[in-house]
Amino acid sequence: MTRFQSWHDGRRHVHIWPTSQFHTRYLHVKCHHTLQRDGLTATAILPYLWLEGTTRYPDAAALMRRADALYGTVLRSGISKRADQHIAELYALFPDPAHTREPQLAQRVAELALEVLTSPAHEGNAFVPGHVHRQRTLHERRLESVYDDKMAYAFERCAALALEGCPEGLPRLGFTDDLDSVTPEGLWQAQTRLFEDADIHVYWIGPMEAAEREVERWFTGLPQGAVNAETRRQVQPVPVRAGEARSHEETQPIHQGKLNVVLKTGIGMADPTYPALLMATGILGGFPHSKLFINVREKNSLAYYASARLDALTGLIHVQTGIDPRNKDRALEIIEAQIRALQAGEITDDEFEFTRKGLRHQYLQTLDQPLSLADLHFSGQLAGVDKEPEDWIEALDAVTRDEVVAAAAAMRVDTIYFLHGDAMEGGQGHG
Amino acid sequence: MADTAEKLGHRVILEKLPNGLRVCLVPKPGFQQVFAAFGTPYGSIDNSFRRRGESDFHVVPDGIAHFLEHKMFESPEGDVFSEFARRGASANAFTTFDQTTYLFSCTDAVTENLQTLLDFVQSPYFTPESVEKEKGIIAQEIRMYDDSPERRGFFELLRSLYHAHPVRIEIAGTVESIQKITADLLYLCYGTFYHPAQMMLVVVGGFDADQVLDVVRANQAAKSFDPAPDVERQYPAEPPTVARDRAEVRLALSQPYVLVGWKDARTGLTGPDLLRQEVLTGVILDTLFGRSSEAYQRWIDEGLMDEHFSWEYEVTPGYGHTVIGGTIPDPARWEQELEAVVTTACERGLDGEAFERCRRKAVGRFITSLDSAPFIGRGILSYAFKGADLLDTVTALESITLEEANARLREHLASERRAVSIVWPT
Repeated sequence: MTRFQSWHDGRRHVHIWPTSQFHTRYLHVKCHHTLQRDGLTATAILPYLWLEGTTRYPDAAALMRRADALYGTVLRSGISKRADQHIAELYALFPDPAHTREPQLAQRVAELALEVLTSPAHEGNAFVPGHVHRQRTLHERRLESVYDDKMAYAFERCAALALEGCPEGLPRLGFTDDLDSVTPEGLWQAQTRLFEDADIHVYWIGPMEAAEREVERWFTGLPQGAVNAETRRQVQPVPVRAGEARSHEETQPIHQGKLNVVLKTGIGMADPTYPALLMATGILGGFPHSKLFINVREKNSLAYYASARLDALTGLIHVQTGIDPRNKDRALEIIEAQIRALQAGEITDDEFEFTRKGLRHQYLQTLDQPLSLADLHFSGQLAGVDKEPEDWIEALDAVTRDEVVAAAAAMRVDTIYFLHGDAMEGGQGHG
Repeated sequence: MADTAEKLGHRVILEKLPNGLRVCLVPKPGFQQVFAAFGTPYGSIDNSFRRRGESDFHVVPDGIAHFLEHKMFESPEGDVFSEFARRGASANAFTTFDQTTYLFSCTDAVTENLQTLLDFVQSPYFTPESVEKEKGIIAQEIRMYDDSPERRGFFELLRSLYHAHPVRIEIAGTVESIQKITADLLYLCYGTFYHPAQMMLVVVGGFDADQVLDVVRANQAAKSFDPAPDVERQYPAEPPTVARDRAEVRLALSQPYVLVGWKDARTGLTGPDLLRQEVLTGVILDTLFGRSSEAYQRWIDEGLMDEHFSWEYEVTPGYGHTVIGGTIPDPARWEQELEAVVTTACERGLDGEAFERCRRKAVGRFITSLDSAPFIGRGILSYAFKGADLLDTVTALESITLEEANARLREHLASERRAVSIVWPT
């Protein structure tokens, strides 16, 4: 059943899924190391700097034109985090060469991607100053723009408050205050450090006539990194914090209030009770039939959205709602009451079965979405779990109601965050 | 009888049922997911209409098409979502300016889910109480949009581009306008715009086409409908000029958000001509403002914008407009730069090599999007309502020429049909 065939050499991993099901070919490279305050912002800028140019395509325009000429190959990079891992990513999607007039398309794209990673435009032991200047400015904007999407902002703020003091709580983009000290030389060092230190996972999805040759390309092309390094970083869920839940409020001139809650569970995807926790979270807020949606939105008309989502690696559950700010207390009461009901085993047969089927549907759906499947596989690599969607479906099928209640007992409300406008006029809410 | 065609590696099956419903099936062997979309060409712009035999036009409250979409999910037995949830399927719906679409995605029990979809959309059930309750939920949806710079900036722009055409009205309406919606008005709109002969069902993904077709035929044959209403929609006359050349609002933002739009002076295209105009305009805009364009890279260099920059061209038989923009720290300076780029392009014409590259890119991007069943399903539906075929996109792209592009560029990006919308930080 295993879809991905994997090879590894030290810290370098190549995962290939040979399939001819899709019209698109996918190449995804993830370089990750542990989040640390020192050098955080420099690492965060690196993947963006990769697309500023290579030795052969010396600036962003030349590089983008090359990608466009390769039948609009989508060549993108970015920085993300999963638990305490900082992940610099590059991906390329391109059409099945059979639909183009370029039989060598796959090879050309692979060459271009490798060049972007290993041969960025540079001057001596430094990135090109002009490129660094551009990316420093753009990075400042990236940092600022989180503020402009209120749903995302509330999510980030609540998570950061819940994870204060942990590496998991460091922002994936780094800090604005660091930008002044980011230099072309310093970034070059950060690049060297990343490749010495990071685990690198290359995902390739598409028909593959000569997998070994493709693996060879990456093992030869990517830097060797530290000698004999075999460390496979394994992430752990964030432990539950003792004591009362902490509340934070923030005001901005906005119309809709955002009430977010973070629950900690101490359970990650490697834990045998994880499938039960996934069920519990789904029953609480994963679907339109879930407790939060029904009770916050449908029964009380308090919100347009109300959901709960489990982070498979940290074990954090993120509850998000968009509400009329005047209804905050009532919405919070309902959220807390629904968590208590779940923990008390108040789960209807429909809630239980609908959730199981809904999760099954989500896992099956990933089989049509190569990037989602690669992400699921990668999460497994980080957590030390080797499971395909079918394995997760089987595990969900075996979960009992008692196990769900037991898993729900691990949920602790950790942080409550409320973002709202200044004007909190009186009067009752809708409903 | 069903018609079958082969297009871009897909088998496309089309059938018109005796009650007039059009059915389109696109099997994707090997796929787990089945995506179904059931839609009607009725959206927020259809706010004034009459049926044969009526002397006066009905003028309905803003946002009613979207409100109706929300309310369709309620049935006497309760919430339709749970019918889908029972089988692990996820259902949803959306309303645009000119279309309302109900959809689901499933990996199991395809025929049962299809029957649920057809049945709930074909059995309206509204009570005064449930209509009142929905107002609270939709008011929160509108409040959420009120905080979005993209959404606010976009609608301010449309209010500038258009004098009278209802495309200038928010799809969801306003918190005030939705208060005027009643169960009776919902039944009126439903009766006018949801007849099977007006609608289309598209199913894409891993399923057995014969089985699905049999189930849909039987489901429809078992229901009786009044004759299809003969509907006359009324849109006000729209002058070719813009209503105002700029609009400015303030929101809690870090940087100004700026959109510039141009409206089409000539409208009325449908079918292959509409598709061709759409891809032609798209390639022009990508050549001028795409990531590999000179302007895009220079504007980034000079700190005039960031990566949140994009372009879009939307065309329907009744209106058409281009919108470009993003986060722009110095709106006045960027407007000047933009004006210069457009003027130069109009004078000198597009660079031939860049045009070819962008055409090739558009072909590649279209092919890669065919892995998404929802993309195909939504696309087939919305083009079909305009008389065009989504899967003709590559053929259309291959047929456009540089000469046409230059003529279209000069006609479309004219300064007298341009407006600016700025969302400033508070």
